[in-house]
This record gives sequence, C-alpha cells and structure tokens, in this order.
Amino acid sequence: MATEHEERGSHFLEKELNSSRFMEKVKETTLRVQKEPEDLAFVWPHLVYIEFICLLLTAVILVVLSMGLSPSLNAPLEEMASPDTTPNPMKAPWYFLGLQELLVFFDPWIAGVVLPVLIIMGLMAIPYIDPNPKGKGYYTFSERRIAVLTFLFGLALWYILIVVGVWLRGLDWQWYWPWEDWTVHKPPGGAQLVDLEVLIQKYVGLAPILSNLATYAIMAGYYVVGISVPFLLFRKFYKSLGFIRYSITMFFFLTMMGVPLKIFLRLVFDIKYVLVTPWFKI
Amino acid sequence: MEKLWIGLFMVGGTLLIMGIFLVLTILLEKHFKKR
Repeated sequence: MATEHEERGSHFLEKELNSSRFMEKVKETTLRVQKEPEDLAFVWPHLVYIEFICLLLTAVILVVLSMGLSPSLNAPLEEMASPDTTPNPMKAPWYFLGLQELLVFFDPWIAGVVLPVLIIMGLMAIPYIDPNPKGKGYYTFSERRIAVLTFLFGLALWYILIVVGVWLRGLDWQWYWPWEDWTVHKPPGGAQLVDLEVLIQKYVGLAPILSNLATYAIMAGYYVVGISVPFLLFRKFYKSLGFIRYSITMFFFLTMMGVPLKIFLRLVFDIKYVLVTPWFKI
Repeated sequence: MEKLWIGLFMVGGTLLIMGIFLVLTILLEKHFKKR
C-alpha cells in the first residue's frame, strides 16, 4: 500500500501531466508499459539507497586494492616522481593518449581545445539532427546504417590514436614498432616539415601573399565542395534533414574527416600546416 | 617505406576497430530482437 506521501506525489504528478500539452502529445505517440502505478517504486529513496551502498563498497574495494594490495599484485608502478628528471617519453594516462597523439599533427590549441569541444558538441547534436522516426529509444544498425557507420568511424579514429600512443610511441615520441629496440634513440625525422603555402609557392610559383590566400581558398573549398556534393547527389538525404540540420551534420562530418586527412597529408607529404592565419594554424 | 607501413597500420587498424564494434552492434541488435 502506498504511503500518504507517495499518494500525494503521484496525484501531483498526474495533474502536472494532464495540464501539459507536451505530455498529451507524448502519450499519443509512445508505447506505454502495462503496469499499474502501485507496482512501481520511487527512484528516491529505494534505488538511490542501494546505489549509494554500491558506491561506498566500490570505493572501499578500490582503496584497499590501490593502497594495500598493489605491491603484492605486482602493479606496474614507477619510481617516485622527481622534479629533476622528466621521463622520456612523457605519456598521459591511456584515455588521454589519443589527444596527445593528435598533438603530433595539430597545434595544442586545435588538438587540445577545438577538436575535443567539437567532438562533444557533435555528439550532443546527434539527437537533434536525427530525423529518423524509426526505433524511438533504440538505435540499431538496420535502421541507421550510415549514422552508425559514421559514428563507428569516429570512434575507431579515437581508438587507433590511443593504440598508437600507448604501444607505438617511444623515445622522443618517435614511432617504434614492437620488435624494435626501445632503448635506442632514433634520429629525428628525415624530411623537414613544410607548410602547404610554401609548397604552393615552390611548385605553382605564386607570390607568398597569393599562395597564403590560396590556402584559405583550399580550406573553404573543402567545406564548400563537401557540403554541396551530397546536396547535389543525394537530394533525398538533404530534404529529409532540411537546410540547417544538413549544414550542421555536414560541418561536423567534414571536420571529422578532415582530421585523418590532415594526418595523411602530414605523414605522406610532410605538410606541417594546411592553413596559416595570424590567429591560428591548422 | 616506413611511412607506408605506418599508413597501412593506421588505416587497417581503424577499419579493424570499426569492424569489431560493428559486429558487436549487430550481435546486440539480434540479441534484443529475440526478446
């Protein structure tokens, strides 16, 4: 039997639900579980109470493991930190090594601030730019093939950078294969890195200012072409999203694809910056 | 030559990780469709 407090609570909730037009809309369009309210328990205090006990137990177990048992479990602890010696290579915790690996290819401001913010904003935007009415509340591959594949590509990109950072970066952040001697310094990278505008000056013969402007045009062209090609070829896709959602989707998609593209340009053509502006360099 | 191997490793690794997660996605979908 429900207590007086719970009864008042559910009565209040019902009044709230009925008074809201939004909830009426939701009632019309969502599946409802066939359960009477009496069968349900409140999250607070019933669930939160159990969760809090779990939290305390987990904390105790972790403290005991990390303080008491780690020496006997042979945890891979390093020697005491010393301000006199910096380890080489200096590696972040594994979950940050993807970001640290991005620093090889991008400026700290881009790799450490702009890209993570864009990733988080892009993930937050997904529910708002998804017009697919199928599978409310669940997101399966058979109903969202392109969406799931795009997401998985981004996820895999994140993980491959972590894999490289954890297992393939040795002394001086040079690339070491597992079978190489990790105690011997490698000579610093063979080719000198150059900016794209320097390459344009050299091979196209444009003046420095013009070649700098050309890099702006190339950057803008990447986004313009990337946004207009699906617009021209997949009109149905564009129409299902509408102009604003389509633009946001394509901006995030092209930015994501731009990251491996820049990595490719850097690895193959030794390009340091694609675009040099007085404020930032990409 | 090393550049080629590095490139192949990164492209192949990305596709491999995508494949693993894709298989998991499809298996999960099948699992929940049965119920």
